[in-house]
Amino acid sequence: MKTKISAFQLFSAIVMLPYATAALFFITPEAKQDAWISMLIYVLPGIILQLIYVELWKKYPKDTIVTYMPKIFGKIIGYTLSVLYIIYFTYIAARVTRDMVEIILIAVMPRMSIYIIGIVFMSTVIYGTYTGVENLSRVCCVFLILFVFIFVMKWIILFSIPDAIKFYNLKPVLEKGIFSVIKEGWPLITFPFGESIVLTMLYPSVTQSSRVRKSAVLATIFLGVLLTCNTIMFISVLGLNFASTSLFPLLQTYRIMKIGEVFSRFGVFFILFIIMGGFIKVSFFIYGSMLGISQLIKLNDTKYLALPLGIVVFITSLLIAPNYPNHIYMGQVLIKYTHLPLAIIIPVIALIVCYLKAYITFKKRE
Amino acid sequence: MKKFILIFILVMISIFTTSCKGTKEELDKLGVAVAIGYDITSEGKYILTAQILNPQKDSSGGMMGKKAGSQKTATGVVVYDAIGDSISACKGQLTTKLGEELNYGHINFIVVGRKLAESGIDMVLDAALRGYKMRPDVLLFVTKGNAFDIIRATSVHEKVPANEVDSILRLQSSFGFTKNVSILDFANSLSSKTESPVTGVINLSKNNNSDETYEVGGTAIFKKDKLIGFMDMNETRGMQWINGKVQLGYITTSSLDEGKVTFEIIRSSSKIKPSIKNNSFTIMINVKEESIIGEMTGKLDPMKAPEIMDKLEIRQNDAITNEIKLAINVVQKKLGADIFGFGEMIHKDYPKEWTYIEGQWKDIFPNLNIEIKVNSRLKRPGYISKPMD
Repeated sequence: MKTKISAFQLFSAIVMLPYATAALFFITPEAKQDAWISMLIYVLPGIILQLIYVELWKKYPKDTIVTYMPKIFGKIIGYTLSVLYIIYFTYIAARVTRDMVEIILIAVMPRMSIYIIGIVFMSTVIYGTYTGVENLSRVCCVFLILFVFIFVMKWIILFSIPDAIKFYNLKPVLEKGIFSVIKEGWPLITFPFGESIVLTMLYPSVTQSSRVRKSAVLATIFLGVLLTCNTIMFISVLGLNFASTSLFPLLQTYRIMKIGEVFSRFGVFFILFIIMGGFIKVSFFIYGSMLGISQLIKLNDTKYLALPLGIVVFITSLLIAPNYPNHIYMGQVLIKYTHLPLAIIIPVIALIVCYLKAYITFKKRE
Repeated sequence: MKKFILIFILVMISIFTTSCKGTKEELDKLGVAVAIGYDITSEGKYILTAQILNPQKDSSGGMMGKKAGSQKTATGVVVYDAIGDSISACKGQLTTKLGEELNYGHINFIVVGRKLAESGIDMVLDAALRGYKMRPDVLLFVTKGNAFDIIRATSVHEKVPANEVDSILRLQSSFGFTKNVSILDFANSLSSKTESPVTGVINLSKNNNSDETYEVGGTAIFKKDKLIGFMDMNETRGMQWINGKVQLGYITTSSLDEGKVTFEIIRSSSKIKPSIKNNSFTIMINVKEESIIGEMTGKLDPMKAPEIMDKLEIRQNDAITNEIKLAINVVQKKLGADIFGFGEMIHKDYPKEWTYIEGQWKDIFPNLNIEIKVNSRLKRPGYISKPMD
């Protein structure tokens, strides 16, 4: 790999990618007021997942997930899986693009043409991926610091409004017991924590290879903490029922914030940051597909795939759902059939196959 | 050359996408509403009354002096109304009179007429929450008459009458004679199975010299989304004692000898805790309050005999307890509505027991045992000690 990114850039990418879309929604409303507990608990499976990805990478240090699948499973199954992963990354890029466009349509300008918003958004993404992953990672670093700063500001502003945060909304704690919380929260392992599988494409590019594991694990913990605080904020500010039924609890929370009498329209301003997060996420996923395709067909330069892939993602984002509820429903259904196998089951099987192979060769040598 | 083209494209995109179709928002093309009222006709149609800012009237249209007999000051707002089958139909019908689209971004409160409140405000609430322009912290009010009277009323102080209502509301949130409920709070209470939502009440009061002024005081109590009753000012203050929201105001009781004494409230707070006593639930309300003497008649001299302050404190405790009991009486016995969310509090602290009694809360609440404990402190007598007489 000619590209070089640092361990901190990997860290910021692993934090930013899931956070960009997970922060917008109230994930697992079935856990009700214990949703934050289930988020916190599921950090552990998230860490285990990252460890699995890092272990797989360690067996094939110079390969990305697209290239070591054929090595583990053999040519036919392996290449099929690689193609599946590339399609998966492209599909998620299209979903996130659709999400961003829908946010603007629902919250800011309902009458705007969906094509114009999509084209403007995709043009920036295409240009970003054209410049390469090193640029993207640097931008991601800066965004991470900005997002953490805004995160702290959110809490400070909310504390300054009297009666905005009602921590008693979090009670009764563990009403249905801890097992129910764990059971209801299982999609969490796929939606925020499983999406960083695309970053396994970046592991070979990290210059300090020894720090990959530490960065990945720390990033998952940091992400979990951020999302838990987010969930606590939604439940305590908006109340459980309103948080579960509103489409973008983050936006609703922003609309409540105000400083004094003058600064009272934070919502519109912060949509900018939501779009920025979405930009990073889409860019990285498109880069993942680009890298995968160029590795499969042995292309030397990945830059030129940006434009065709960008157009494909844009068109797909328009086609995937006729209306917004359908889009969300597809997301929930797809968790079972695509996220779960691709992000979790197949890497686990791959790791087991790896160990088996090593064991068999060890036995043969004896 | 490539850079030039790129910059040119960027500039073109930024110019053309900032005000695309459907999003044009020039200031004088906006119908900025500052207050909105909803009513219902006898046939079940909705009436929407909107107080729209009039940006051209920026000359000194405010204080023109009273003309004999009538009260007509030029205001900075114009009032429009419209009738339709639904809230949105009203908005559409409004465009036949108003050449601009309604902009809700600066509304601070919504007024609902009594008839509409009695028949159910679910559509009003949904239109307010679902729309992307109305902020969730817009305050909701019920009026005993028609909302369009409130919206049409002109005010003496301000060019924009809604601002006068705003200042009253802000003050009242500390005085405790009304409760400022936002549509978000209302929606949260509504979605609870046992809690009864409330809103504040706003009326017009006519004095003898035909000056109409706003009067904000009292509470409207709902069951689900239908109005079932009102609480007057004193009962509302009782409710606000329980909510710990009374920070300003005066309590007047009879003094220890034959005079009267008024206490000026400095601050108060409350703690509500459910507990189980004798196999049934009890709600313990603990109110702490601090005050100073506002006015006194009689012959007492607190500086000479400090135990007078203690005895006056007891009087104050009784007065506050009476106000609280007034509120609880109305809510428990007369209306049977759990406006404080006692049910939800029991749910939060005793979730297991709550699953048994949640279904029968309607029957349990009117007989619920409520213990009130008021702890008030009287700190200072003011500038003078003994009343001059």
